[in-house]
Amino acid sequence: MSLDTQIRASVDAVPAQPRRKVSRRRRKDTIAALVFLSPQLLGLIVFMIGPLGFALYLAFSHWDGFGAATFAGLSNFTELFENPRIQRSAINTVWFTVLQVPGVMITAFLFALFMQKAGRMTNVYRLGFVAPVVTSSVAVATIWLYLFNPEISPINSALRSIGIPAPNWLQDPSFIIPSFAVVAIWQGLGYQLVMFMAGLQSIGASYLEAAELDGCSAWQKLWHVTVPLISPTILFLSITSIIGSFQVFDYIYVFMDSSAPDEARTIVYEIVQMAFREFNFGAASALAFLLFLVLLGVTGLQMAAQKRWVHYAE
Amino acid sequence: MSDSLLSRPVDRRALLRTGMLGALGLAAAPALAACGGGSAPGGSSGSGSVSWAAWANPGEGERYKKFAEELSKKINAKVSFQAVVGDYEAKLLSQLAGGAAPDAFYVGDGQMAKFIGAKQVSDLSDYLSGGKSPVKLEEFPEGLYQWCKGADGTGLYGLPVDCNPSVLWFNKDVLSAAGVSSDPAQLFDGGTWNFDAFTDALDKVRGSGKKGLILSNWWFNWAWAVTAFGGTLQDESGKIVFADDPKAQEGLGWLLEQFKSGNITYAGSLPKGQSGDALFLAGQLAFNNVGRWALPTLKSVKFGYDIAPLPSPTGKDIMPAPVATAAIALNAKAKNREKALELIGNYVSKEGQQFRLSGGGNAVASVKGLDGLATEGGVPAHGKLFNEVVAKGYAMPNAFVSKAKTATELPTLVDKLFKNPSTTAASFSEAVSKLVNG
Amino acid sequence: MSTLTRNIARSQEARTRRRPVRPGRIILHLALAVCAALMALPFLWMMLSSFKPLDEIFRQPPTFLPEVWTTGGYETAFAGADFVRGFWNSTYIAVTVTVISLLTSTMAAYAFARIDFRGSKHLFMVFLATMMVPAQLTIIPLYIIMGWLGWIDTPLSLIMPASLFSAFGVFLMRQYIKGIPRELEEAAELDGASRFRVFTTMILPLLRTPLTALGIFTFLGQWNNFFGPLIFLNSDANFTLPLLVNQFKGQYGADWTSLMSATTLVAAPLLIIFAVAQRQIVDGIALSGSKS
Repeated sequence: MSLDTQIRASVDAVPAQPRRKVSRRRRKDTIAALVFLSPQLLGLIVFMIGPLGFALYLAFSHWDGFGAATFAGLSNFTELFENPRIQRSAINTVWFTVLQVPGVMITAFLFALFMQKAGRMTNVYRLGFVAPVVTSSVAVATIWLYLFNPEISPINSALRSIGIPAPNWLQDPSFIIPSFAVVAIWQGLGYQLVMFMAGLQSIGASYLEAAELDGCSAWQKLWHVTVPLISPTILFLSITSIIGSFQVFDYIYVFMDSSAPDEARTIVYEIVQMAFREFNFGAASALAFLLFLVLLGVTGLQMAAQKRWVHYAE
Repeated sequence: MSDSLLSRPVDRRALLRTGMLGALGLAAAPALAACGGGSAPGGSSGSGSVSWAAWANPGEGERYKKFAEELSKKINAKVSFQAVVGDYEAKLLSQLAGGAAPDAFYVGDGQMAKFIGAKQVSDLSDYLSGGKSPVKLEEFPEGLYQWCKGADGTGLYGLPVDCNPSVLWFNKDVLSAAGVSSDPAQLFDGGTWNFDAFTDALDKVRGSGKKGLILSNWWFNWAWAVTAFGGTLQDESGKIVFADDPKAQEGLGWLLEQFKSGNITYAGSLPKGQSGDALFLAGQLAFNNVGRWALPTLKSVKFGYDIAPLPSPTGKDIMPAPVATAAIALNAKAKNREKALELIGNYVSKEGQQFRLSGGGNAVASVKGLDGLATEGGVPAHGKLFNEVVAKGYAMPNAFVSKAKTATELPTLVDKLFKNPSTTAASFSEAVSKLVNG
Repeated sequence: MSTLTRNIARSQEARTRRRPVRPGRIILHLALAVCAALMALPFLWMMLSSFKPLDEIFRQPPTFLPEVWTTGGYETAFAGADFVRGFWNSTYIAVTVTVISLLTSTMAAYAFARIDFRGSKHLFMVFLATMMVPAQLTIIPLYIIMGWLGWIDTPLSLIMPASLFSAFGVFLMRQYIKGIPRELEEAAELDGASRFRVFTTMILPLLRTPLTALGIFTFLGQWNNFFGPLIFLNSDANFTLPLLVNQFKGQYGADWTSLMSATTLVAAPLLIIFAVAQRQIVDGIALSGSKS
């Protein structure tokens, strides 16, 4: 029996409203909504809609960044579908997401749970986890180019000393994407940890202790109390994390500049290459549009599925 | 429950209100300032100012700003410099699209052909041959500016700002510890620095447990395998012909063999010129195939070092070698063309390069007659070789960069070829020629 | 008295009793300490390397603590770039964006979470959808728009878009607002309070935790933002810290000592702020009271 229903039962129900008040309420609501939304709406329209419309227009044109754009119909799209390199980049991107998203979320969640019991040391540990988040991409490149350098990396020497063959992280085709995933998990863990901890802490402690006193085991507490109560956080992190993952670019660029091998390229890397190095904005926009559709679908699925597993306290 | 929330102490609400007003005030201030100031975007406004953009590290940046100050006095205009510290192409393209690009800007070898074709840069040949220019075309070594010409070979749309030849830096201590009795510079002076000597040195270094040489897929690091053996890279029409040249095949074959034996390591696709850096600075690498830009960092290492040119078949010649260079071009839509031309002219003239490049130690002049720059401070000991290599060297071959797509595809293709252990000189040449010759 | 309320009372009793230290807790602390240290290790190595001379940074086998503490890297870093100016620019932009965007995001989130207006779901999907387009693609039209507004090479080009539009923040706050039980607001509205009053007096205080978290990460994002400042800022007097740091990377090679020093300089204030603000999160929870 869910706890929030029990709480609801103990609060007086809200009486029904008469009809005239309802329609006036409606109008007041819409105005109120507009007022609250106005700043973000302004930003959306000025800084997003225009550029997005332009990008959409480009997807169906040929444009080199300078002259006039000519109509291209669907040719950008068909070229993309037939391009084996783009296909490979798409696979790389999906593989990266599969490795990185669950990787970060599960570890962050587990650590957040452990950190609940860390008492006074919480701040110290959390600082350690957050350190990677504050390192800029230049620093990340500096540090990890060193750590991934097969000749001089301490990681490789450590691995070799315990008998595991040390891979050539950035050159071995089967290790490139996992290497990026490692760096991404390293950088993203602290952020998701803080989010999960914020979510866990806003669950009233009495929920959990009431469940404990009711005789729930640790596993039952986790699965039937904690997870449902932070499911809004999980949904948020899962959606934003997948969107971010699909758009990974910085790591490939700082490690491999403009000539990354096929095994390392991702969708957004291709977009940047096509736009700024090959002067083919039409193809770049078309690819971005395809990416957008994919993400829209994935997010839509997640939003639709939330009725099944996400509990809002209302 | 509801009671406790509504009965919060009043000061918290007041605090929140003041906070919001404060934030709005913070935001309003710059908006009002901007309305009043009305500063112009990007490039120059009015006939009195002119600007240029380039990539620069802090040392260079300082130098450029001083140059701008000096030049302002000379040409009687307000000269300013825009440093671009990252993705240069993205920024330049945004500025060009927005009509806010500076009057002059650097153009890299992968982009020049496109800019010429799209008429974004202007022809400088008239200015060069006219009376007002402080520099003449003849002052530039011919090999350095072919890529700045129009597609049909006419016109000149950029002037090289400086250059860096492909030479071999070496660690004296690593070599002598490996049993190499005379270092390459000495061998060159003695006329015996040929590929046998080079291979011998590499073998010995490998035997001593250190790395010999690390190369990346940048053309600067492998094109010399063709030309240093006496092969020809391209014919007069610019077509890449090394696939049919026996000497070139010999050179490529030699290179691939060194990869196989482990004498030379292929480092993969790394940020330009950084493949061997870390290892060389750590004293673990015998040779580093980079330009003069390595000098400032090397000044603080504790091992002895010097440079040698790439080996030659005879052992005493300097063969044509790659030279990395960039050009400064005139924005076709520059608001102040006359002043911008003066800027460019003074930028690459002998005087201008002397001012810009002295003391920094990270490039070689792109005009003749400034040999003293490369030997500044007497370090490295054989610094004069820089000038000699430049005199005989070549910038990026036109075929490599005449199409933007080729320019970006080539390094990726080379990467694939070098990583494949079954690549031969013939298959390499065929693949590359097919890509660049179309 | 219901089972629930009885259990709650019992649990409050239990909390006041002292708990003995269990061995499981020691293992937990050990595991956490090791993991936190491993995560921070690369960053620590970079920080320590900023105090090493160049040849020690790449030495084999690598050293962790500097043999000789040198400040040479910092000297060249400070000589090479105006970090004071850059610090001011970065702080100004980051603080302004954080404050304004927190406010506008929460307002918009409130509208989405609580007000049932026509097109609410569709508009929210539009917000979400904007996160799915890579920034690199919209940069050129955005640059043109900034040109029209006359904001090129001013901090406004960076502040305005980020403050006024943040799908991420709206999404996050919406999730948290939805997690607050409605009954309290409905009771207040019955009493005649306007939506605005409900928002400021009831919703905002309850959002302290997510607001702090969002605030920290917005600040972080702005502080480390590289692409936007790269494109929109021209004069180095306006440069933010990431731009200044990237200068040391150079065209062909990096000035390693200065690079390490510069990146440490840029990251250190963030860590300090986070270390300090952490405590605020904890205090904030304690003060805002339980939500049940």
